[in-house]
Amino acid sequence: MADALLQGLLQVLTPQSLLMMVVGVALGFVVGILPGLGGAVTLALLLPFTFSMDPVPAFALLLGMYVVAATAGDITSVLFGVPGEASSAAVVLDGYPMTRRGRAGRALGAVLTSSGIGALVGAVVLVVLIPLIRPIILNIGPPEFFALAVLGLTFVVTLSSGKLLKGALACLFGVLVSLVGLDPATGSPRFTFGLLELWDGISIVPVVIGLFGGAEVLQLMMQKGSVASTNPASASVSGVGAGVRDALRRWPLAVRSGAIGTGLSLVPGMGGSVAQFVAYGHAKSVSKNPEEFGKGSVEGVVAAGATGVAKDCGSLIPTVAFGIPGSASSAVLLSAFLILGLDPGKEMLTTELDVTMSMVWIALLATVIAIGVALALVRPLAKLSYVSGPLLIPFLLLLLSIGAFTENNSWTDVLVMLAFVVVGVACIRWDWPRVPLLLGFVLGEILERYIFLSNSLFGAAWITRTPVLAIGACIVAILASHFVRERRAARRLQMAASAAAAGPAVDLSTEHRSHDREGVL
Amino acid sequence: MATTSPSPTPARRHIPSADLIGGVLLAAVMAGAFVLTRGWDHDAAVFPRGVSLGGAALGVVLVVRSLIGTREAPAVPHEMETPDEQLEYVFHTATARQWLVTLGWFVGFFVSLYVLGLYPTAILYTVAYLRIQDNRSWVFSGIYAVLLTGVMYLAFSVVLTQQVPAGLFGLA
Repeated sequence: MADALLQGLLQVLTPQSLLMMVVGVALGFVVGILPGLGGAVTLALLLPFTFSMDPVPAFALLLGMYVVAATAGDITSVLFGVPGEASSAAVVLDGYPMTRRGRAGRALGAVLTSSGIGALVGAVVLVVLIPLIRPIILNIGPPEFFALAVLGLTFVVTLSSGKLLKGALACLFGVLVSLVGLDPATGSPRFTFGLLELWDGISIVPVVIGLFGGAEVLQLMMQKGSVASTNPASASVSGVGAGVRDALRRWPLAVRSGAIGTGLSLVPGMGGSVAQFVAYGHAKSVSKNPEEFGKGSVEGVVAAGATGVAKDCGSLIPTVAFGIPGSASSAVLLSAFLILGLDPGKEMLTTELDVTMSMVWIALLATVIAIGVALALVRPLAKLSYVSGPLLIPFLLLLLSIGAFTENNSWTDVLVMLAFVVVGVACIRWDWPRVPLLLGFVLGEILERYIFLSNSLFGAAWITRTPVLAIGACIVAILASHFVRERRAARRLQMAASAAAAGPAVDLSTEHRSHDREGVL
Repeated sequence: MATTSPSPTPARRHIPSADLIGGVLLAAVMAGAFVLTRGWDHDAAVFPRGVSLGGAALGVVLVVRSLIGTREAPAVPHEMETPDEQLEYVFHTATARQWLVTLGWFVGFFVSLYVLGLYPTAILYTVAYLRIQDNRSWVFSGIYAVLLTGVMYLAFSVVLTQQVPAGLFGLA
C-alpha cells in the first residue's frame, strides 16, 4: 500500500501530469463558478483530449477539473446566493447571509479552508477503504440503500424547526416532482401530460438554480442595493484570515462533515446534493448556537463546505472498486477508465493500485492548488459583494438562464427553472422550507428504485433485515429526539413570554430568533 | 443583546392563512396526482400512488391544523433585532409596484432571450436595464454591455464550446 502511494505520488509529480492538473484546475474554476455547467458535462467535453494520454496525466486533467469545480462552486454560492454547482446549494444557506452582512471574505476563507479539510478526510477515507471496501459494499443491498435514503430524508425534514409537517409535505412534493418522466421499470410516461420534453424527467440543475438562485436574484432586483447590505467603508472585506481560523478552530466539525460527505457518496445517487444538507443538519443539531443557522453561521458554512471535495473522493470508491458510478460525473470518469484501458474492479485494487493512489494525490493536490489560488483572489472576489446590484443583475440573469439551459440544451429546463423560481419565492414569502423539497426531489428516484429492487429480490421480508432494522431504529430515535427538542424549545419560549408579560425588561432575542429563523431549511 | 419592556399582546387564536392555502393547494396537487396514477400499470403506479396518498393526507392534516388554529406566544416586536440581524427578504414588504416592475424586467429578460437569443439579449437588456433602472449613462451602459457579452462569448462559445440559446432568428 505504502509503495503504491509513493508510486502514485511520483507519477503525479511528472511535468506532464502537473501541467494537465493546472489546466484542469483552471477549467474547474470556470466550470465551478458558472452555475449549471456541471462537472459531468465538462468531463465529457474533455474526454476526447485524453485519448492519447497516459492514465495519470489524463486523470490529472479530468479529476483536477472535477474536484476543483466543487470548491469553486462554493464561491458563487457565497457571493451571489446562486449555487455554482448543485452540490454547493447548502453553502448558500449561511454563506450568502454572511456576504449580505459584509463578511464575504470571512465566509470565503471559511468555506475554502473547510473544503481543504474535507478533501483531506476524503483522501484518507479513500486510501483506507479501498482494500476493505469490497466486503463492506457487498453486504449492503437495495433494502439498506432504501433505508439510508429514508434516514437522510428524516434527518433533513426534522431540521425544519417547528415546521415538521410542512417539511414533510414539501419533501413529498419533491419526491412527486422527481417521478416526472418515463418509469424506469415499465417505460410508461408518468406526470408528463403528453409533453415529450418531460419524458427524460426533470434535471436537478434547473431545480437547484431556480429554488435558491432565482429568489436571490429577484431579491437583488427589488432592493437595488449591493449584495452586502453593510456600508463598504465600514465593513471588512479582508476577514479571510478570520474565516480560515474559524474553519481551523472547527476542524472536528469539518472532519465529521467530510466523513459524512465521503460516506454518503458511497451510495450511488446519494452524492453531494444529499450529503451537504445532512452535514449542515448535523452541524446545526450539535451547535451551541443553532439559532444562528440561516443567518450567517460560520459553522453552517464550514459543514457545507467540507463535503465539497470529500463527496467526490467518496464517489470514486464504488467507481474504482466495482465499476459502479455513484453519480453522472463518476459515470463519465468510468468511461475514461475504459478509454484509457483500465478495468475498474480487482485490477484497480491490485496491479493498477498505483494509478488508483495517484487519483488520491490528484484530488488532494488539485484542491490545495485551487484553495491557494482562491485564497489569493478572495479580496477582489469579496469586493464583488459591494458592486451595485443593478450592475450585477444582467450578469446574474445570464448565468441563471445559461445554467439552466446548458444542462440539456433545452428550453424546457429554463421553464422548469422559472417554475422553481416561483416555488422558491413562494417558500420564502410564506415561510415554507425549501431544503426538504430539494432533498425529496434528489432522493425520490433512489427511493423508488431501491424499494422496487428490495421487493423484487426479497419480497416483504427485506424489512426484517438487521441493517434495515438498525437504520429504522435510528430514524425513530431522530424523530423522538426532534419532538423532545421541539417541546423543550416551546416550553422555553412560553416561559420567556410569561416572564415578559409579568416582569420588566427581559431578553427575548434568542427565542425570537429561533422562532424567526424557521425558514432556514 | 436586545431587550424590551413588555407591552404584552394577549395570546390569541390565529389562523395561518398561508399554511391553510398551501395545505389546500398541495392536498389538491397530491389528490390530482393520485387520480392520474389510476390509469397506469401497477408497477409504474405503486410508488407514486403511495407518495401522493401520503402527501394528500399530510395536506389535509395541515389544513385541519390551520383551521383549528394555534395558540400564539405574545407577539414580539421586530425592533428587538439589532440592525446586524436584519436580513429580511424584501418579498415580505415589497409594494405591488415593486413586484410589477421587478417581474416585468425579469419576464422581459426571458422573453427577449427566447426571441433574440443570448448575445443580443445580453447587449440590449444590459443597456436598457442600466439606463432605466440604474440611471447610468449611455456610454457606460454600452461599454459594460459589450464587455459582459464579450466575457460570456469567450467563456461559453470559445473556451467551453457550449450551445447557448440562439433565439427564434438564430442570432446566437
